[in-house]
Amino acid sequence: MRERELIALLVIAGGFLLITPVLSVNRVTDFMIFCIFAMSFDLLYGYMGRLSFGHLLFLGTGAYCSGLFLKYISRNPMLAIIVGILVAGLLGMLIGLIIVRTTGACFALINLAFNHIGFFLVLSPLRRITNGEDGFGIHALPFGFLNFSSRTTMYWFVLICLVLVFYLLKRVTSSPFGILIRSIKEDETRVKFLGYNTFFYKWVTFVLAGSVAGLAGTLTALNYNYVNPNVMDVHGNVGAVFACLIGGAGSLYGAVVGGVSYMVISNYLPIYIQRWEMFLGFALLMIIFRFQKGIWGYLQSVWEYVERKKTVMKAIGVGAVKR
Amino acid sequence: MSDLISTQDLTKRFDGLVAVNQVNFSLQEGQVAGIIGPNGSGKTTLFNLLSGFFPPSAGRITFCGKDITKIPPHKRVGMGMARTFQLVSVFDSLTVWENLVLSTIRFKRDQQSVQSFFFAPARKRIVVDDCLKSLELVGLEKKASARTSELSYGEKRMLEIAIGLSLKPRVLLLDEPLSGLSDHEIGGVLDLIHRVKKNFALVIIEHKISKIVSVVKKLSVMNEGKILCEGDPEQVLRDPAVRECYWGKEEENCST
Amino acid sequence: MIHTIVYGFTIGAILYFIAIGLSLTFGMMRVINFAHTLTYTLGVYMLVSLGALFKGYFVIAAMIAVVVVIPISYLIERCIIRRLYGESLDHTFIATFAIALIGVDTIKWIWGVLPYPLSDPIGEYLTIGGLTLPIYRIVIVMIAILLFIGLEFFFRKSIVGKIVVAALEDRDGVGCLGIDVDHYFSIVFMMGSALAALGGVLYAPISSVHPYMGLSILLLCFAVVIVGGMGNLRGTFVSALALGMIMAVTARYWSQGAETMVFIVMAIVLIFRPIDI
Repeated sequence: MRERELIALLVIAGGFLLITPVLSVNRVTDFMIFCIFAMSFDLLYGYMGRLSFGHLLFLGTGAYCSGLFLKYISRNPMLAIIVGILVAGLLGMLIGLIIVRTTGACFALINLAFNHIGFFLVLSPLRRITNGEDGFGIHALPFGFLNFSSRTTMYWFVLICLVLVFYLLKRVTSSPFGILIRSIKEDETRVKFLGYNTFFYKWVTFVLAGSVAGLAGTLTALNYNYVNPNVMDVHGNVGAVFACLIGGAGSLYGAVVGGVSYMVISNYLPIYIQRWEMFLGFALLMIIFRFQKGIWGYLQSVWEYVERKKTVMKAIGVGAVKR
Repeated sequence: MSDLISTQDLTKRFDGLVAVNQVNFSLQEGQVAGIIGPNGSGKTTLFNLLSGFFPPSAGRITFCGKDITKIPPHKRVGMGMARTFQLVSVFDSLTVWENLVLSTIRFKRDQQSVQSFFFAPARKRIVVDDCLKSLELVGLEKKASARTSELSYGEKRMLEIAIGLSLKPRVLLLDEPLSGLSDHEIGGVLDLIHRVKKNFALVIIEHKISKIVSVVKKLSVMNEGKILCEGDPEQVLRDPAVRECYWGKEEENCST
Repeated sequence: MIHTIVYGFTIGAILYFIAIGLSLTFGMMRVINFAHTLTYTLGVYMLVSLGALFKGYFVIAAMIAVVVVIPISYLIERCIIRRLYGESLDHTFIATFAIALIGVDTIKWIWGVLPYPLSDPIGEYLTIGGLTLPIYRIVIVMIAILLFIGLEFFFRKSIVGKIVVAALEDRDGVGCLGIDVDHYFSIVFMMGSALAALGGVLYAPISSVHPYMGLSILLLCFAVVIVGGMGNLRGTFVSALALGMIMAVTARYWSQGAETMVFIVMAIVLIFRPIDI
């Protein structure tokens, strides 16, 4: 088990290292941050079956809090990251109390509503400190040997964060708790009758997903040295949904594969296709109608098919020998 | 002997329809009770009230001497009340043994810690072994790593009962455990009930009276939300009121 | 203060128009229809073009704009939503969101991203005892009240209305009576979409017109539906007016916080009355 986890982590890190020369350090850093975000979204949607259309709220909270911290309080980047994650987590704790009571489309829209409020807050009532739609630049001092204004340092730092997040979420999702949230996805009532307070566990998942998204937010802020309201623009949420669906919901590998696919599509396709949103809409419809399992789910079913064929062949082979 | 479960004037109304009407039901420690009655007589509603699926409109429920009327379902499970559902509900997307993980680890002190619940892999010797033990009881150990959606209906029902048993209940509420099963599978379930019934109290809802008469010690007949008659199965079945409500039509058919 | 009240009623009336469709589609098919933003926005943009065509005849332009939306909503229902019935709610929701994306992009393609200014088509003011009120707003409130009465009659008296009300309660039960629920659903869907377009058309002259205008109004209407109860028509009416009033009163003291206040109310309602969908 341990070995398999280690191999998985190495494969993911290796995969990102491999695509770096093809794309560029900047782009891949972006991709990896988005993958962290997609994984946190997948924890909610793929594992627990709660579709959120406002998950960017947490990313934005993380970005703004760490940014404001760097701007006004201290220029220590590590502290800023911790503050970003904590505040996003706290926000998750607070609004989670309301949000996790709902399911289905209601859950999606309430998240969207809160995201909308957040976007609005940074845009105008808090304009004095957030500088409204223009955003603000930040400047982080180096932390030890980590100089965050260096592109390569940022790249390695994000890669390590990605691997750590993957490891953490892998552990969480294969623990009894992971089984619990997958069970909640299927039949919440039944889980209650196994003696679990589903409200509490849904809330924990929500907070965890929020905190990880907050981490993605702080990394975004540090990566660009700049924060503006676009980081929590409600229309950006469709990216996470798309990534999760195309990669295959309910699997962390799927989230990473989907995150990279989405970023590749959204970085290169708009050069050739002018009507980007339209393309995205049609692609989403195609996935919903024809490709619900996603890339990873598809690979998995191919794998299962091959395995099955192998066992059947073996059975026939053994029979022949006996005869 | 004190009652394990007792209800006082338990009532549930759904917009004008009184599904359960002032029911006084009681069950003793280790007793096996059956509830029969025609469709819509309020049997399942009574179960839902007992297990906390929804709150009663009036009345009280006592379990182990405590008033549990307002206690949420998950706490009732913690106190030792487990149930199954009329339509089999197991987790199709999980594997068979994973279905048992959640109920099994409740009873492992070392597995209860935050560290092992949230971060340690579920696929661990001590957990899996216990799950397999539960599966052996119902004869599903060979399918432990199969996906639950590949099981037959009867096997799913067995799995659901296994989940109920692994909760180590003081009382197990079985909602129509025989419905939709073949005769052979019914034999399996009844055999299982015979094997485990000495460990705890049991309440069975059933249509097919003849099948459960051999198992139950006490039989209650419900009709239109009320308990018509209660007591020793043989006696209850001889009661004219019961015969009229439950077999009225059948007897007419026989006599003509 | 009178101004605030009239303003609140106007907003409430608009929210009512749009929330009806959401509430009905949810009640009947358990579908939260994100594409509702599209029909709303489309109605407005139709008005923009037709208004330029029929200069001065606002009523004709508005009516045509509402009518044009109906066949489009029929296509959406027929080609996308009906096929997704029985799928998980999430997939339906994502699909309707995808439709909204496509539609909004089409609107940007045709009309461009820049906001259009539209002016009050009546422009007259009514003066009662020293108070001047724009007639247009009063007209909107009147239409809303008429519509409410009309819908009450429709759902009580007409066969179609009765079937719809029955289907809101128990869809499968109605299906078992040999009634093609899907057929009535598509009628309801078109009706809801037309009402959304009507709301858009009426609201456009007193708000700003841009391709993304649907989103915030959808969220407000969603709050209305939550507060009023999913599939509850009278509840929708009352909560629309109440939330409209809350918006107006909030706007009087804190102009930017109006929408936020609505969501706060919604959150409070959710705390005390959790809903299971």
